[in-house]
Amino acid sequence: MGVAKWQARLEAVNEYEREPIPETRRRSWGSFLSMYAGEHTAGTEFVIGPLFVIRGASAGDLVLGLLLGNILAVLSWAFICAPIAVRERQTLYYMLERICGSRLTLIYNLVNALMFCFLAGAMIAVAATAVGIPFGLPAARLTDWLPSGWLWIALVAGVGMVTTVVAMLGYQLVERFAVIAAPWMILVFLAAAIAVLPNLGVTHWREFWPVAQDIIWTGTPAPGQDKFTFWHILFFAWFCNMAMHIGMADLSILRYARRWTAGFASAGGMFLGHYVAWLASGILYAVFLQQYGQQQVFAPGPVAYGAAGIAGALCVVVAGWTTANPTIYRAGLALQALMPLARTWKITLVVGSITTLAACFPALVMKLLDFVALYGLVLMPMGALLFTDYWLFPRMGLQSSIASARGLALNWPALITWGGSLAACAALSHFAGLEIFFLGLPGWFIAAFLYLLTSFIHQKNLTT
Amino acid sequence: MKLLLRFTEILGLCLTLLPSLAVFFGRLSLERNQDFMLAGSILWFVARGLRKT
Repeated sequence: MGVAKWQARLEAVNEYEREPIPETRRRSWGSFLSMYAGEHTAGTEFVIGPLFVIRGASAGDLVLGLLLGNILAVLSWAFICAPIAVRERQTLYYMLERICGSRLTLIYNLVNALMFCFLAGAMIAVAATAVGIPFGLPAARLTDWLPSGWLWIALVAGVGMVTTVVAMLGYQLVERFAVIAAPWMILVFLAAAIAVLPNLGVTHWREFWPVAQDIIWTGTPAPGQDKFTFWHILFFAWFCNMAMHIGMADLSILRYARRWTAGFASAGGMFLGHYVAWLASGILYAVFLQQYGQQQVFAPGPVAYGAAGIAGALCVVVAGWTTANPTIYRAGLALQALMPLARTWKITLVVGSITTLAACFPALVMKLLDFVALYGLVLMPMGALLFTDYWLFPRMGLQSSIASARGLALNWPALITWGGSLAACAALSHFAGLEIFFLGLPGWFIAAFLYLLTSFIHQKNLTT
Repeated sequence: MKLLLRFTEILGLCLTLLPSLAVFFGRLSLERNQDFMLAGSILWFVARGLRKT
């Protein structure tokens, strides 16, 4: 009886993968504020803040770079992604199918789902470091790539299974969970950071800045790590969610919004999660370094536990879940577009299993800054292409959504744009020495230009 | 009932954040602050969970 009820609930999950969101399912601005705050006050925040310390960011660069980078990210959501989301109310995957054709969308969806799996895997790994505290799980070294042992694998499997089951029940449940946890999480970050300040020698507010400069964000990277400058920080803050704003993945989320201004609600995530939480977790790591500095180890769970006790460890677990859940959900949607007849929950189960497997490798956490930049870069050209197709093509007399209009299985200009822009980014990196964090901006314009050019030639040939 | 739950939520958040200020000003130990944070977390999740269901 129980199993039948459970299955009926799973079968009833409808996420409108191939149809516009009806009016009754639209959500308020406040709902998006909570969702973004929850999603971006996440397990990765416990990693990214410390990685800035490890990469030798200076205090001044960090405060200013994060401020400007986060403002640019919010503007990208509000002016690039949200207007298309509320006009069309379709998932990114369905819109791409109409533009690129089913074959290219198939490849894109596979790459996208895989990237989302790795990202969600990092969150699960972060949560597992907290779950492992009672079991005496040793902290991983900064240079670790492979699983440390069976205990680590068992913990990751447990956390991954729970996360997958929650994601299987659909977006509403994920959102409810994020809404409940979001205000509490940010306060735990804040409280933990304030409480450990005396351990760093700060007993008055005016002592904070000198300590921030000399002890926390010293500007000197850990041995073997590349230095992060102001520009690294600005571009990282702007583009760490590149796939979601200028890459348009959040069309799938913002299509539930009543108005395009819901895009500004991303400020909740940027300024609480990607500002307060990054600074707070950097402070916590500076305290952790006082004890383990020579060992070159890092584990978000013990870092938070040392400062905030059980509540801190709990926060790491919850923070991991609130981001892993929507990320697994997004990956599920990506695969759903490949198999429209398959039930959403079955696809989410497959995605959750791949995610859990990826989470077993600590390299995903230790190289998170680089991975986040790569994942955004790989997916970004499709966002540029969609933007061009939606806004510029009608004004230039070109046919929008050409694959759907002409019944094409593969839109060659889209394939050339994706491959060509990534090749151009690789060339910029190799020949001009541009680091991966800076490739997103030129890459977006290259992709937009390439798609315009190739589509112009392609559509001219189609009509003659 | 709703009012009581809302009050409990706020109390939970206050217990999570405010004792850390006492630690900062040297009026409370870090360990005792951790107890307060845990109590605040439990209050928050129970009250918020009940109010949302």
